[in-house]
Amino acid sequence: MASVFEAIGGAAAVDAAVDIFYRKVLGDPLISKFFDSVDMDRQTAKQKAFLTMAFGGPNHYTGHDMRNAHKHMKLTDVHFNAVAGHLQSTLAELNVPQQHIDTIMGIAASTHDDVLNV
Amino acid sequence: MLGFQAGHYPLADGESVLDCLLRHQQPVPYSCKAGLCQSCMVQAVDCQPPALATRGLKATLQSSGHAMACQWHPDSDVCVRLPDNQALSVQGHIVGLQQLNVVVMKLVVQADDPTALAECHPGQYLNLVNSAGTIRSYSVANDCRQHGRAEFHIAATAQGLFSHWLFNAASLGDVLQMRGPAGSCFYVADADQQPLLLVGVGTGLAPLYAIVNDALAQGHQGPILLVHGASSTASLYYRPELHTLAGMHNNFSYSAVVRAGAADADCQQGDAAESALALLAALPVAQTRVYLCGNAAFVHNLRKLVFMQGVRSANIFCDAFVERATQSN
Repeated sequence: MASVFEAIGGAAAVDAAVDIFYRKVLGDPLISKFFDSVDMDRQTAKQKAFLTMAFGGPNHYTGHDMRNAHKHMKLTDVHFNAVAGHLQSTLAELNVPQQHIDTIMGIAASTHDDVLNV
Repeated sequence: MLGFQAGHYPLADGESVLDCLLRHQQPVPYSCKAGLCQSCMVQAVDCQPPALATRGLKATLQSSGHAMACQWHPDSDVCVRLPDNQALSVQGHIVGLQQLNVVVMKLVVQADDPTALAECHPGQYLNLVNSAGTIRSYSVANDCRQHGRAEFHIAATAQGLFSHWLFNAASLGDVLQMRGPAGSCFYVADADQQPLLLVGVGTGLAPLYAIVNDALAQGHQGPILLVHGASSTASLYYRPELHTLAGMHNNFSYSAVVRAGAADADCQQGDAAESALALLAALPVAQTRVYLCGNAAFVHNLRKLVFMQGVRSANIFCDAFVERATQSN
């Protein structure tokens, strides 16, 4: 059985999604400051890594990594939900089938406690 | 065997370059180990990385031998170094000093070995070291690969140690060391029909001038639009050269934009970023490649704006000039 990552097109799907997703978060005044970076190439690479993980693709992030990466940002559910919403609308824009969107949103939701350091 | 810096390290079966180096306690940064974050970037030395190790890297990085060490599983001897590792200094002499306007000096340096700059793509930058040991990075404004003669456009800055030396003490024949090249702002002939939009402010024109000439020399077919912004007409330069180039090539157009002062016949008054965005609005944005060069604040601001307007992040190339904070070497 193909993973959701393979089913939606693998690395090519990530490439298609990253700019769309990144534009959405940069355009959202609630969270843009977390994504606005001097090194845009590096930020883009991080977004690709995040999307790959969310799409069920190969990655080596641990809960510990997610905790550390977000530790000092004082994030709340408001921020988490905003990013999740942008992920969902990116997938909708790319016409990803609803069942795959559901799977991906489930993976994203599973990072909640680590990202918010709760 | 894996060559790295001065050492040679045996590769275990199926092992990646990254894992091999880490196993031997060699200092390579890394993070995701999944070919995504690009933290483990290395540069190939006298060998070709496999496609898997370059996937997702920008065209300019791919064409300068960069690869992700975690995705590189060699099946024969390879040699790598950390990127921008300026191990070798190239010695040269000043062969040209010409003041282009009140604030900009054209510096031309001839490498003693004419083949020494053969790897320098037009638009990359070199670190220049003068006899006082002051070292600064400057973008190359020409194609110096064949003859080792590199042109730089250097602005006088209030506290600038290097520029102060250049404007007041430097002479023809002075020795300079050059290190590099580095930088990802150069022409890559992977899509010769695509529109190119190049926006530079002040001496940000330098690498863009090199890139425009390189693109035209390589037969780029798509439209090439250059915007040069400056504070006033007194800080513009190369206007005749750029007009001539536009006259010779149908697909190249040049516009100058100044913040203040009466604009003349072929120079508008306004904001360079706004002019650039207006030009972009008339182009197929998802296919357009953008090059931005000049002071960091300008570059970062316009980079975000062009991205938000729809230019793909993989198509945005920046060379942001950062001034050294203190008057020291």
